[in-house]
Amino acid sequence: MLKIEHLTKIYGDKRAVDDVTLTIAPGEIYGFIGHNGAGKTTTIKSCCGILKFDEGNIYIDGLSIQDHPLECKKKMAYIPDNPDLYDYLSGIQYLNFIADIYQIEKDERERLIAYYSDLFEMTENLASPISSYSHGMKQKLAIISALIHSPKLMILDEPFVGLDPKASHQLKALMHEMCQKGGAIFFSTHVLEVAEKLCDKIAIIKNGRLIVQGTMEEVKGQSSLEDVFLELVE
Amino acid sequence: MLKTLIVMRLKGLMNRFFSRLHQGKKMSIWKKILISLLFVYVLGCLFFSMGALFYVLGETLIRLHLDWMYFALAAFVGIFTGIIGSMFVASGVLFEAKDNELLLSMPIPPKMILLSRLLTLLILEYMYSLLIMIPIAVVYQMLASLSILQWIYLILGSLIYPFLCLSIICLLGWIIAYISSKIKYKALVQIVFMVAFFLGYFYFYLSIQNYIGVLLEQGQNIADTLSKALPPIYYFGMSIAESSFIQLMKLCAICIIPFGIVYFVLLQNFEKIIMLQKGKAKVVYRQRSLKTSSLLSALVKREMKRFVSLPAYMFNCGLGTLFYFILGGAIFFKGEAIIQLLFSDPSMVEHVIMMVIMIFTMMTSLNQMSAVSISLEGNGLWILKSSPVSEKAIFSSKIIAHILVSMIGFGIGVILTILKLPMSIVEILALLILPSLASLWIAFCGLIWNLLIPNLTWTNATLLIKQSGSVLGSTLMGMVSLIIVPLLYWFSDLKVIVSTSQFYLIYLVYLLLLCLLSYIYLKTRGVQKFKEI
Repeated sequence: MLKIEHLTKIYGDKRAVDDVTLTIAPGEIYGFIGHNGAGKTTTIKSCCGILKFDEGNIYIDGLSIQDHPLECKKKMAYIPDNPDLYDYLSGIQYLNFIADIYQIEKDERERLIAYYSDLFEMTENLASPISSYSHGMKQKLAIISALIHSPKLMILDEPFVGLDPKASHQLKALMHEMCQKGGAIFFSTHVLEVAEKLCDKIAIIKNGRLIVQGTMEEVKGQSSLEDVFLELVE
Repeated sequence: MLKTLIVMRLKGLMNRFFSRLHQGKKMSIWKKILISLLFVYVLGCLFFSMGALFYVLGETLIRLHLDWMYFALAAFVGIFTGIIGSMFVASGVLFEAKDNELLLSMPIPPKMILLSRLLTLLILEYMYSLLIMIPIAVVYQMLASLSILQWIYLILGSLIYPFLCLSIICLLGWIIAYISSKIKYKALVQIVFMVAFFLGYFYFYLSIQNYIGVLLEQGQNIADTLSKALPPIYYFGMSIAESSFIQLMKLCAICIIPFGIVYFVLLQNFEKIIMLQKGKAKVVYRQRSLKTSSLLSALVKREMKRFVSLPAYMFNCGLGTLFYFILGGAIFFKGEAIIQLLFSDPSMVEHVIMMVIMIFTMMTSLNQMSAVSISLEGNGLWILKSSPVSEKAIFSSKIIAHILVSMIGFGIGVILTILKLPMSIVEILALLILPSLASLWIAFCGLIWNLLIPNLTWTNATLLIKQSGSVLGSTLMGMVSLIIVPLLYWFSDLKVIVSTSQFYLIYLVYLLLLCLLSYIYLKTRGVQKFKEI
């Protein structure tokens, strides 16, 4: 579903991402772990077509993001680490805008918006301007907007930050459900316990380079993920 | 601590303009030179317009030994400009700044935060003061002569009166923030304030000749009235004209004491005022049928919603639309006398109509909606970039929204003009087509400027719009590009060999060429630039 080949992104003299290669198959939840500034967000933004990269290539469902950006973006959804949305719109206006962008049928968008808004307990707030939302509410709205166009691939940057426990639980359930239906998820996190419980595969990045990747068992063996991570990045 | 806070805020203000530096990318020397030249040009225009206005006033007032009134009027214009220029900045900087809560959580006394904000605003006021007082002093020096003592009093007075502006903008900023926090349509409140102030200023500027007449007749009476009704202006004028220390002290007292009171009141209520924006009653959503739109239509609607949600955007980048209303209304309702005067000589009719068409065309450069539309995406740019939306669709939506805003005022202005002026078919077509094409060119031009110097790291949209280098660049480039052909026609022998109809055709081809070139640029380099942002 997502194939990153020798991805390299250079800022000035610094190689923020250096020759990263990984593959995420349909049905997999792939965790991406690293210290602050390791290159997680740069990798994620490159995958979403937000950042241009210098070397390598990224394929979404077999299509290159460089050559077929629009087709790739139709198949995926991205949730950033800090959900800066359009403050001048209300929640429902924003969701309807996103539905227009993805050209979702009227009945379908109404059904999906109602379903996910209820699931994340956001329905009552949809008439309020986004400027009045808390961080968690913005995060929930960004998640709903990512789900309403039923993406095959979800790329999430620190998705659990700001979410209340219930919303966090719902998101994890949705991630599993999506993968069971053949979708794939690539997400970064600093919460190693979450990664350990949720992910099928994991990659650890340090100073722009992947230092380890594989199934959870391959990476951590009998130790805890926290011990392995600390040992590898020290 | 105070110095750090002020330096940080000023750095923020400056970095908004020199956005490339802010993003860690050094600006090329050519860009620095270009921006410096633009600054010099804008300053020159402002100095010239202010100098021309006060030259007219000064000639009469100095001849009648009403020198004090010359300086009093200077103070009036200075105070008015200072208020209108920073009223909304004050509201944003003092009460709605995004870092209010962060700073309050730090071990910084609220009085320091407030003082740093006020001093930053005071620096802005001094900048406005310089814009007014430099041309005024130069004109006075040309017409009469300022003694060394008068220079000192002028400088001291110019340093003192901005305190009064500061007190007033704090009060108005608080009122705006308070009303905005209480009602749903906060943008409406701000736009009403802006238009009211703007029309007042415009009216004063246009009525200046009438005022001179009244001043000539009732100089002494007005002096008495001014000293009672607007004492700061009177004291400012008298202190310079008479080199009076007592009048300067009175000015000092009347400007600085209110500032002290405002500072004290704000300090007592600072946290309460900041919280004004919080805890609004929640609007509960009732599920309803949703309207679907095409991709382009959705993008255009979004641009329009952003436009109407930001009063500073509407006012600073939609000024042309307001002028179209004023111009159309003036021609329709108040144009009888002017029309009779201008059309008394039939040979002039053609040229007067041409001038009207050119004015309509020039005014398109005052609408600069597209010139800040990329920057306004701010931190939300990821939404467009990660969505299946082509750069072409994004650019188109910004161009269409720009043209829609222009066309609202233009349409009404044109209809009123066509109804009132005797125009031929060719002239009507020229009036319809030339400004429309010019509007398209300005929309392209603004978008290109914003792609060249985007700023996505702003914290206050009002400041971003007011200090946008792309708006400034696009306005100046638009004005120069639109005026150059008519000027060549008017001030050369061309008008002998080229008829006005032929001129319209040449101008049409010229505008088409500008549109075509900018379209090609946007389609190629523009798309690349957007991808690099």
